[in-house]
Amino acid sequence: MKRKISAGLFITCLAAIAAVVGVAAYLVNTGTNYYAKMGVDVSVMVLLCVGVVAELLTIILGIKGTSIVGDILPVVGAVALTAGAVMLLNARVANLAAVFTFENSAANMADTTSCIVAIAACVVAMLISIIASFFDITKEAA
Amino acid sequence: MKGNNRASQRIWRGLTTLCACVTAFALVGTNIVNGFRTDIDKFLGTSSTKVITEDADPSEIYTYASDYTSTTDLVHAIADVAERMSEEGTVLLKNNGALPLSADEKGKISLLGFSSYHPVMGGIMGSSLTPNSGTDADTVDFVGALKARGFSYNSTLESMYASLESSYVTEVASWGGTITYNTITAPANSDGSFFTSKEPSQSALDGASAGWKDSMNDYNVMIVTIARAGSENANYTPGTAGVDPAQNLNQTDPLGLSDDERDLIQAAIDAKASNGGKVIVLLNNASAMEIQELADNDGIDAMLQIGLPGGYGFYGVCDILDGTVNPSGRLSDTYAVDNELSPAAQNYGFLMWANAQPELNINSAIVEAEGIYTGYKYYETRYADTVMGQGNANSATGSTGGAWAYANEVTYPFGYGLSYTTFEQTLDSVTVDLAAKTATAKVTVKNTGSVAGKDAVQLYVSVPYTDYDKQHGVEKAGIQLLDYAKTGEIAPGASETVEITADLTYMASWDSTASNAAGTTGNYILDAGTYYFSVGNSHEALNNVLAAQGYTTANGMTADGSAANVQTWELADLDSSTFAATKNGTNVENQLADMDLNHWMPGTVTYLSRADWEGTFPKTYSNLTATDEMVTVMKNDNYQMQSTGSDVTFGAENDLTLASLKGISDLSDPAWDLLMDQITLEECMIRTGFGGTSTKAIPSIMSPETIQNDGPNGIYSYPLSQYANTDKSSGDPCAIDSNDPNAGYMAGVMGNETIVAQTFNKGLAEEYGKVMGNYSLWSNLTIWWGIGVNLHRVPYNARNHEYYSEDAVLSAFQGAATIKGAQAYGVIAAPKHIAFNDSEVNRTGVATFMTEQKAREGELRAMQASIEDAKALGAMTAYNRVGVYTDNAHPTLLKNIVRGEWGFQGLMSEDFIMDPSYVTLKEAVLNGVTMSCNTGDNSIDAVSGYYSYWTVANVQDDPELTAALKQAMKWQAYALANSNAMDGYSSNTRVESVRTWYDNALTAVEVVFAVLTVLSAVMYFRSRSKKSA
Repeated sequence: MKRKISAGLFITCLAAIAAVVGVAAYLVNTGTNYYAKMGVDVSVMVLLCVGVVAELLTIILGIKGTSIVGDILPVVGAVALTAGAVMLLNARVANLAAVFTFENSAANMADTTSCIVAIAACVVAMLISIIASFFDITKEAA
Repeated sequence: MKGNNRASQRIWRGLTTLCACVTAFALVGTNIVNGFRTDIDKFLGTSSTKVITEDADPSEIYTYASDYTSTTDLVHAIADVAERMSEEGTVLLKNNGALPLSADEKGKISLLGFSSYHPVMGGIMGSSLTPNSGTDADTVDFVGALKARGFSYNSTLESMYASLESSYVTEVASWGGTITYNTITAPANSDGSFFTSKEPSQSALDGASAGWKDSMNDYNVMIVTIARAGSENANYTPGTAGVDPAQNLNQTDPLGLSDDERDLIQAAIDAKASNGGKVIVLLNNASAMEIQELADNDGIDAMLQIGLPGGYGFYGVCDILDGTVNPSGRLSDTYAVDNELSPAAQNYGFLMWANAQPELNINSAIVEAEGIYTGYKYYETRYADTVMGQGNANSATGSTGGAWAYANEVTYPFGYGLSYTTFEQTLDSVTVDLAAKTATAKVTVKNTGSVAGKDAVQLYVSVPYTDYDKQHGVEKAGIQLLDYAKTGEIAPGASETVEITADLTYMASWDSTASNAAGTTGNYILDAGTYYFSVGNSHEALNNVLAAQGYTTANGMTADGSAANVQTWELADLDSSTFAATKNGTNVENQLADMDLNHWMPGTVTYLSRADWEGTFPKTYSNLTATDEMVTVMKNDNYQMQSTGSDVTFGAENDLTLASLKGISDLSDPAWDLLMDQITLEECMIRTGFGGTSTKAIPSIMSPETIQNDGPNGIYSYPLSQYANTDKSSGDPCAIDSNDPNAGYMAGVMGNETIVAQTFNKGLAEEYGKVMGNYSLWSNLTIWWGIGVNLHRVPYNARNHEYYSEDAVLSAFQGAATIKGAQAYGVIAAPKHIAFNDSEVNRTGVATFMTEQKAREGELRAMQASIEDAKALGAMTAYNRVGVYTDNAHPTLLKNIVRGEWGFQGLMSEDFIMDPSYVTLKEAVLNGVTMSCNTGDNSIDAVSGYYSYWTVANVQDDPELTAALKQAMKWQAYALANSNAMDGYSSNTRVESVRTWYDNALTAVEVVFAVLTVLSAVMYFRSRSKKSA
């Protein structure tokens, strides 16, 4: 049976891209002078990576058609991205407070840019992945 | 049907996702909430703990009593002290009789300068003014105070400046944008940042109002306000490098004047020629400005230094302007002609390591090569040596031009200030009792003028500078403040005799080579020779001493001194025993040898010596390369944990509560050990690791959550009602109604610390402590990080507004007085930042180097009295490194000096250090630090996750660390038990956690959405099964 691409493909792709951006920005951030000492939070990384993989698998399986695994993956992906985003925020909120006040400097502000991008991207990925879960990747051709 | 089925599945899948995500959000969010509970409670006005006291007589469980019966009385008292602080802390720098103003002149005020309308009333950040409105003591700015005091002012100028407001908005960079201020601000704390003058130009003023100059014909008392801001985490860069390069305003220093400011003052002077009025300049600053041109300008009739006056200080300024009050403030800093030329300024700013590793906070180094010669101790000592012709003092090195001459270098000396009357001070006698370690001076102060007023008596001493000193590297200031007192109001023609009993501890000099009672080296000494005591300001006192030594203007003195106003004391032999032990009996010895860069890099630094001003004048030490050994230390892992086993008792069941030890001030009482045996290792580890924003409850000993607050201008972190007791039936005499008119009052309203210092009035500083103590009782805010005792090493530190002075003794005694006042009401009033946080530049990481003599006679002396004399129960440490160790990890500073020599027994917090490696937690705990400033979930997993080495497995078998952890918690508990945090607690008081509405909301969300997730999933599978069917 022929299937044609649905809006879900684009939305899920967007979620996956946002999640990848989040992961990349987080990794960049953990390499900056100010944030390097905090290291990489394994929980955050695992959750975000699970989210990315789940979104990618959702796309791959969805192109082939619907399946119960293909329906569970969007749930897993969105939940992982949600937990990852919130945990990332938790890991950084005290530092953000410090940089915006007691440790405000041009260098620290610059280092903080990747942190803000990472948090924002993860939150966007979380929201889009929830929306995407209401859509299929493909639908049967008429 | 298939299509409908699939659509149904998609919807149920989507709803399952949505509900699962909300559930996950709530579950993870709960951890965040637990980690930031104090801050969330602060924001929402909720409380997560409940105190339950049964069968207790309320009259017995409230130890501390307020002096006031209502918050109305309380806020009026705060406003009164703040007003009087500015009355006595404002310094009259010049006056040709223009002040005080007559009743008629009060109606003819022209306010010039945008800072007249938008003055700097507190720090831009740190000690910021908390404006209060709608309360019983609303704060006022200059215009508001003028109105309240019945002055009338020129509305044309007011309108003109209002129309120009957009031109003097200043911006402070923040992530993603800027924060704008109408006041002037301090430059950012970044290399290359600079000051931008915002004063509108004459053409801008003309463009805004063609008739502004004519308007001053009817308002011919022209007050020009010139401001420089203070701010935490900000910095003035010395010289032209610190001035906006895009401006061409002939400004040579950020603390000097711009042409727009000069032109404004000149416009007022020009107007005076036609309107016959007066020109009065107000300096609204905390860092000493370069104002020689204003002092020399005869067109300026009067000049006042008003500091950053806080919320009520302008009432005091107005009272001085109209003569209601006679000014009695004296400068707490030297006003130099060119700040950049001081020896301290040669090593200030962004002086990076050549092998900097910013990711490890190995960034810059400050070599304080000026030694003890900061502020007046430099200017006056070098002056003395020019007069005495010694040490190449008159060389051109460090001068504004040509041979160094005092008159060319100093505009106003330390301790300077005028009055509307004149006083004559006579040093009647000085009796030295070396055994008692005191010098008792009697000074008669006579009012020789025609107006009543107060005077500040400053007792100075000039100690011998001997061959021994030269041979042993001991430096001596030509004059040093030993103690001071403020008179009462003295009527014209009347006299008052002031008796000052000075502590000779502050006269002794540190000799790193001297043997000591400990059998090592390093000791306080008094040299053999003649000690000269005198009074006046720092320069007058020195002139008196020089006169007593036979010098006159013929020798180059700026004025002849009064030898008759000098008392002497002879010491036959060098004394190295009297001060060999501190007040608690601890033998002193060298503790800070590693603060000398030469310890690590021999022969690198030449320290300034009065033996040769020219040859030892500091060069700039920049681009230094730290040795491998230094870098290893700066990587902040300097204690290797042991696993030999520990027999320290934790978790015993002794049925004691902290409240049962309330008021037991003897820490050797066995009950303390019994109580602390109850605490668990995990509690110790969590509370030391996560000690921020509030000192959390410890269930095993029923230690309550205790709230921490900034700052040096008053307790301002929370409004009065945030933690106030609103249960009037509780028996709490300081319980408030929920609709109390002052519920929103915040007490960050005092003038900044330079104003407190400039009063030279310990009694007033103590009154400040008392009103904050009363505020603490009503607001239930116990811990106050409010005593800034770092020194003004240079004026360029924009945070000088949070510290008193360039002088250690003035800082020490004003700080100690405030602590005494506050602690009488159970406040844990904490001196900060121990120690050497005298710059905001790269403060997380900067390696601060100096001699032990400078350390002990400078900042440590400024802090010592807070602990030794005022018995402070709290202290805050510093961001910076002490030598190459982080302040908290330095092997001896906190442990051997602060806790050892000074006997500090209270709680000790790190500053707001968020970098877990820079917290150096294990080293800090070993040094007696009781808490870092981080926050997190109340669990060992959370704290171990933050500090990877801070696990029970690692710590429990380390005998040294486990003992230190328990000792740290003991000190913390001791401080709380002797504070008002225990008010309302009896031995049967229980502290219980309670669920707030947001806890319930989170749980409800978790449960509801978990159920919905399951339901949605079930519906999804049902729709799939339909498809299958």
